[in-house]
Amino acid sequence: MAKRVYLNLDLCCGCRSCAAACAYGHHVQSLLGHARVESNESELPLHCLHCEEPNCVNACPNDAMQKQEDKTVQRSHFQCVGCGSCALACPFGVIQPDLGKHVVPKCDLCIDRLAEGETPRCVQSCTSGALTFVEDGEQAADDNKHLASARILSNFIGRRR
Amino acid sequence: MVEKKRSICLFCSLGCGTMFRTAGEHVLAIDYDRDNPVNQGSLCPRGNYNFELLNHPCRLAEPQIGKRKASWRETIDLLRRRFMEFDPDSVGIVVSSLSSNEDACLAAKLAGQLGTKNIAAAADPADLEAYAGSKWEAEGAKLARIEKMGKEEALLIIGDVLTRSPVLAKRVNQVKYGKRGNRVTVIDPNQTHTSWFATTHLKNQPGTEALVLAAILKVVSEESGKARIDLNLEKVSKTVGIPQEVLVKAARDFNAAASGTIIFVPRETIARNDLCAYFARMLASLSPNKKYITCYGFGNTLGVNTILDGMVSGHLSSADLLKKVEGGQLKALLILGEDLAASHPELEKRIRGLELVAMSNYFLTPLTDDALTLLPLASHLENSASYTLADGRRERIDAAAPKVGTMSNAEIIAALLGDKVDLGQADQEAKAVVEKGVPSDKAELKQKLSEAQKITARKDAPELNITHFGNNRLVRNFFWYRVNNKHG
Repeated sequence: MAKRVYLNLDLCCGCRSCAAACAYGHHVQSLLGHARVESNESELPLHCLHCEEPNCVNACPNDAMQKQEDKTVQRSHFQCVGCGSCALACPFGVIQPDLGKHVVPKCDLCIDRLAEGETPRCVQSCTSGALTFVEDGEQAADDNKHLASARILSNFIGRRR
Repeated sequence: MVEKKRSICLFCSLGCGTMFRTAGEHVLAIDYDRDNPVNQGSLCPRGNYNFELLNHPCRLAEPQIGKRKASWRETIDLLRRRFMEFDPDSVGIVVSSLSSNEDACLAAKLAGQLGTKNIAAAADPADLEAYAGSKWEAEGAKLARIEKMGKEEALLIIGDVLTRSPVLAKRVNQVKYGKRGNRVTVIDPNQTHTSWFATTHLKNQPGTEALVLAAILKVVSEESGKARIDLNLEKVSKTVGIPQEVLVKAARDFNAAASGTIIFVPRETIARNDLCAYFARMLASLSPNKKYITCYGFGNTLGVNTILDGMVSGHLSSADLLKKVEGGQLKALLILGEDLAASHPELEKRIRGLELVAMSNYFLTPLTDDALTLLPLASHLENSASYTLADGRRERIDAAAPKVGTMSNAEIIAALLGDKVDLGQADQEAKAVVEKGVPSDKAELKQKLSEAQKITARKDAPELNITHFGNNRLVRNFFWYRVNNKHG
């Protein structure tokens, strides 16, 4: 099993510190896709899921996207031509091409920090505890037990009280 | 050799811990201080910005006299000579709220040597108003400690605290999801990030927060039987636009909780911040086992104001000093760590007209003129100093990076005073002043309540309605997929 970043919507306060931390960690190029929601005033992080059979890898014309041995999907800086095919192929919409800079920012799970045994920057910087870095199966089971039903109910009512 | 150095962030008054990875005199990256009891490593976007402040290419490194670059010695000599020429009443000193305790202590000494009372702290006007209110006498009101927050049963939040200090979100969540029956009450006219976490959102008319607090105070005092308050709840509920029974229920719930914290965020849209701060403290003193905290915009607002009040008796308030500048009664102005032309654009012309202006700042200012002497300032990250934060704790931090051509405010003032000043001694003096505290001003609850009743709703306040992602279809589908599908 691999560790992944999970987002708990109940806790997220929309402060965007994850985006800021990502940007300062990756040479002022935020790799974190952010869904712009209706009024641009609140945002939440959309993390790459590092799929088992990634569409972006299949779509890449230059083999810049590769599934690694540690089960993460990484993008080679030198092979990427910024065509944006992976962004079209991604079923979750978490890859957002930066057309101005001719690159495709893509979450790398902060491999430099993982090598030191630390958590990714977005998770460490999260102010509300909404982002967690846990084993894949754990959080899903936990979610189903404790939070999922309440959260879906609250979503359907349209408010969170 | 990569080293990790601890520091704190001063972009709001929480004082979160940060870390920097340094190699020699280079700062490589920002890191997160997990052991810090205040934030456990989390940082808001402004906290992350600390790193950019250190490495910013536009930081000043050399003093400027007019438009000409000069050496430190020449600049200091010039300032020492010229500041003595003026009449004491026509010299003003403005101390930024990002300055350290030593800076404020030495600025007070400089004012003493010049013989002037025209010294004031510069901060958000709303913050200064709230500070004035927090000096009024309220027996038994206790300041909350940030590291101990999150275990209480009730929170009463006035304003949008998650926009000003997002790091408190963890604590708010701990209270909200901690135990069944915990209450998070938010008083805010707008739909904000904070109000989404509220169990009770008291959506008042803009500007009438003080009146809502007065009503809550009345209900709480009736419950505890400690003080009698004359207030017509019916009339109040009409003015604030909240039904009477909702107000009473919110107040009773808050009073019944075993422990609680009142968080006040001063804003310019609130009609009387001083009354709000005063009522919040009264509430903390009347209701059993409650504490209060005021979240200021700048890190050391509490420290700088307390030290100036303690060391220069009868000094001008910030508003009065700005009025003096506007009225043309000042001839020379020493601005420490603040760009007055940027924060008060209407004063720019007046400041240009002064005979002598010295300003210490991180960046170039639009004010650059022949009359202006610009001093490059060392930020709180390059400076070993102590700070007093929102919960009254004193943090002593060491420099994370060496100064490159810059000086701290304390060193500038020490040079102006004549190199006889010991910075360690100034720190001890500042510590003594803060520990002793400022003698509280006399205040009568009755009079303050009658003042509060004069408040009317503001019509010009902008309406804010933040749509939260909780009810967004796109996100719901996304989330649904994540929970129910195996991946990775």
